[in-house]
Amino acid sequence: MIKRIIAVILLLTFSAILLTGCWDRKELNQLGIAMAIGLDKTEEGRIELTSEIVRPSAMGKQGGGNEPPYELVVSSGDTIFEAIRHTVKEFDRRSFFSHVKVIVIGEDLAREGLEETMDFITRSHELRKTTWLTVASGCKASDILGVKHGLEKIQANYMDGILKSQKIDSSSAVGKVIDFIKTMPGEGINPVTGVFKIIDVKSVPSQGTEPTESKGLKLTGSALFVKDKLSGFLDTFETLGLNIITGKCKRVTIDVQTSPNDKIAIELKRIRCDIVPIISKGKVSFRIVVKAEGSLTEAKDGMDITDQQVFKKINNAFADHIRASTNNSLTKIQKEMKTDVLGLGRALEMKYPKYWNKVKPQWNEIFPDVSFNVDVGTHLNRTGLSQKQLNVKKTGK
Amino acid sequence: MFNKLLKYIKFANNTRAPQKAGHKKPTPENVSFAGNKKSLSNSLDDNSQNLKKYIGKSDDIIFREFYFGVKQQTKALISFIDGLGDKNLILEYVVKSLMVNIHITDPQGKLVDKKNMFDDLKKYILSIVEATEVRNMDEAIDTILSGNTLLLFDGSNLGFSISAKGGASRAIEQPETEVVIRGSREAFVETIRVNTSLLRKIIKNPNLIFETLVVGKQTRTDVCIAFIQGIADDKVIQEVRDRINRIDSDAILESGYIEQFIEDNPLSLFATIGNSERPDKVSAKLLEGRVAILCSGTPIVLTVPYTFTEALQVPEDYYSRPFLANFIRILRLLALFITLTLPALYISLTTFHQEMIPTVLLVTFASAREGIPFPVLIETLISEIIFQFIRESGIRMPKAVGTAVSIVGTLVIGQAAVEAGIIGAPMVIITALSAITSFILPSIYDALIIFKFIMIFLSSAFGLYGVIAGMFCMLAHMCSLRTFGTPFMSPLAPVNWSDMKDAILRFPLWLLKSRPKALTWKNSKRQSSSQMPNKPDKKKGGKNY
Repeated sequence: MIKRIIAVILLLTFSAILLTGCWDRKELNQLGIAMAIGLDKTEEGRIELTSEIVRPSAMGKQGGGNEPPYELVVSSGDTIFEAIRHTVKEFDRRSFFSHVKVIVIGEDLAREGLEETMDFITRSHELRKTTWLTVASGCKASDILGVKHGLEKIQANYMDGILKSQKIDSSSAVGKVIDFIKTMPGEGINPVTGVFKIIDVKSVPSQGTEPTESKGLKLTGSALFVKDKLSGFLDTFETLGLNIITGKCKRVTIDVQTSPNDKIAIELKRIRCDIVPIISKGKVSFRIVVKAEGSLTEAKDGMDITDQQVFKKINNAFADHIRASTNNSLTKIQKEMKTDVLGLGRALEMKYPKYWNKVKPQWNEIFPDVSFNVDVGTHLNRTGLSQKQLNVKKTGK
Repeated sequence: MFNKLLKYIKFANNTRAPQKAGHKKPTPENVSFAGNKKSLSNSLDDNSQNLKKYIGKSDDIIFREFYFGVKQQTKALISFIDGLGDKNLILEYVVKSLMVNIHITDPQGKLVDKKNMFDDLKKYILSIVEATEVRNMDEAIDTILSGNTLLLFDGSNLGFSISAKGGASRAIEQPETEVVIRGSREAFVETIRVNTSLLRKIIKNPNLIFETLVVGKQTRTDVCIAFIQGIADDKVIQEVRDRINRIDSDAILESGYIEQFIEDNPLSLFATIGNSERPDKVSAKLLEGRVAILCSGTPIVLTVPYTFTEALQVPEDYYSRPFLANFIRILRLLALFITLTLPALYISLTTFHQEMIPTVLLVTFASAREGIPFPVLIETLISEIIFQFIRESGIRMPKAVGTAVSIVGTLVIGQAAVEAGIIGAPMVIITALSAITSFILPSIYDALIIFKFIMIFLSSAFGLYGVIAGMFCMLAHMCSLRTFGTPFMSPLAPVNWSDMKDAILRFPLWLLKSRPKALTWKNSKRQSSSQMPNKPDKKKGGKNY
């Protein structure tokens, strides 16, 4: 009898292992792999979720016919989670969000605040906090997901490619979800993200094809937030200054005006920015020290850069350019946007924690009125592979 | 079902228990066909009749009676098995020396005394090298059956066992299983004497000792224990002797029979006795202090103790320079992991942990899985089992048909199954890769394949957690094994740093100062230190070069 009981227990254990072990199992062909999601606010105040779900059959090497490689699934709900649950009713595969690369937020939703959205993302075990976070400007997020121009088959990869290459342009302050969450409390620093716009793209007629006009995406400028609410946009030039101050600027090429007619291109090799808060007579001001190192990549009009004087002039112009763009951005951010996305509060907190504790509650009111002093030191140390200008014009004369 | 299992466990315990108690099993001495210890009689006719009574029924045994001697003619009987004895040898050196040459060596008949005929014949007349005495009927029968020639003569109760073995045997050929590019091309054959000679050719050392035992009541197979006295541990040698003597079986047809009767862990998937058909490899093991067991009738020689690291080693690791050899050894370890875990990893990643695969790869996998009617587990099992079918038929088929099998196999699995959408292309790649890597480690192939299937089931039930748990269980099991007193995982577990020089990596030969300490503590010094080759130093009197 005892043996029989033991046998039954053993059998049950074995079957428990073999039969119930697969509760978490999801076969690949039951999954709808979402690569990007867009979040909008509908007119009724509901949340509209657009998920871009890959169609694997269209991605195989055999081509897969004329089916588009991805499908946009739209569903809405009072919360994001409800919207996700509603997709199941309308779409044949369960959405799987672990591979989401880009989250696009509609402008309306961003202006209302992203606290709930961020809360959902942090709680979700599928969505990653290293996903790109962008704001759609002038259109809905779902419209952004519908536009594809580049070589990638999947639109999300197209956006991802653009966002990654921002490193060498700095015309946008791209950020990930984790950056947003860290800066969202608004204590000494406020969030900033990249902005997508839909633009017209003209293709040059190549052999056998007609020139076509199509839509494409452009990552342009940046979206500034006050805490979790969108407050406004910066254009590309203003964003460069922002990136210089926040230290996100790497290997950017800038065009420097040396004389009214001449422009030369300088590639920033290294740029460092220190924010030094100064308290005098109970008032706080900031000294912003920018140290930049660059190399000349393109010069115009027979400039003899071997001449020390000319070289110095270029260097000065370089410094002026950086100073101008930094000042320009500062004024815009301070006077118009009135949001401290630069992290000045943080710098203040680090240096004068006691003072910071006093001003912390009113910081957003104090910030627009603090004064700045920008110091720029530049250094040109390379001129590319050649030193002298190719003297085409000299022989022409 | 459960009762049966219990019964089986009881049965297994019962079969093991007497061995532990040192129960006296029949030794080769008391295993006998005739069961007859009777001494030979002085009369040849009696002996002849007796002999014929026991083994005369068989037609392949030759009995030849003749007379020899100068003065008085003595009757003699020569007997051997047709095909096993070398007829020329017997004729030239036994019959001829007795019947013809005796007139030259002993014209007066003074040398051979009737009373002391055995010794006299041995001393003066028989010009054959190996002639030992036969005292009783059992030995007489043994002599004939083991292929020697029996010589009996009238008036003596002693006979001669003359070693004049002939018969057909395979020539020494290239090894079939352990092929090397650099190194000896000799392999063992089925004849045990040839095999011992191959070892003796390599190790010309009086301490190399071959001990022959006879095992198998019906087959009376010669089993030979080889070891180097002074290097091998005496306790291990004695243990091997004891365990072989304990075998009480009808037949020993191959060394595998011995292996299965003497191994430490009969219920483990891992073999704890090594085997090889290369004399150079076996010699190397002997020189490390291991014991070899040669078995008549098979070219496969067993070596004990056998540790896990030996599975990763091939003779060429030592013959070629250490750099590539070490790189390949690391790759072999990688191959081990690929064989064990690749299908399991694929299953667990695609059914449980899709977030761990890079996006592009996931989409590729997903597109390959589109339209496949089975879950990944079934898909894996199908392709793995088809591969095992192909492998098995490839081995069993005659060589001419084997190519046909492989063509059908590649076409059926490689292409048709994928195109028909029954198996995904990644699955074929994974099966093929894990199949290729499994052949890199032939000596633990059996265990790996079984564990691979266990891993597949674990991963399909528990995902990566199952894979990791399975690996841990396997590792723990491997660490628990012992082989003739040596831990199976030595020197990795328990760690032995000095043996590490030749475990996963092989250090340069001039650094391998000592033999594996896990095998033999005494006399473990192999060579002197500071043997690193160097340029001749002029200051120290070196000549120009």
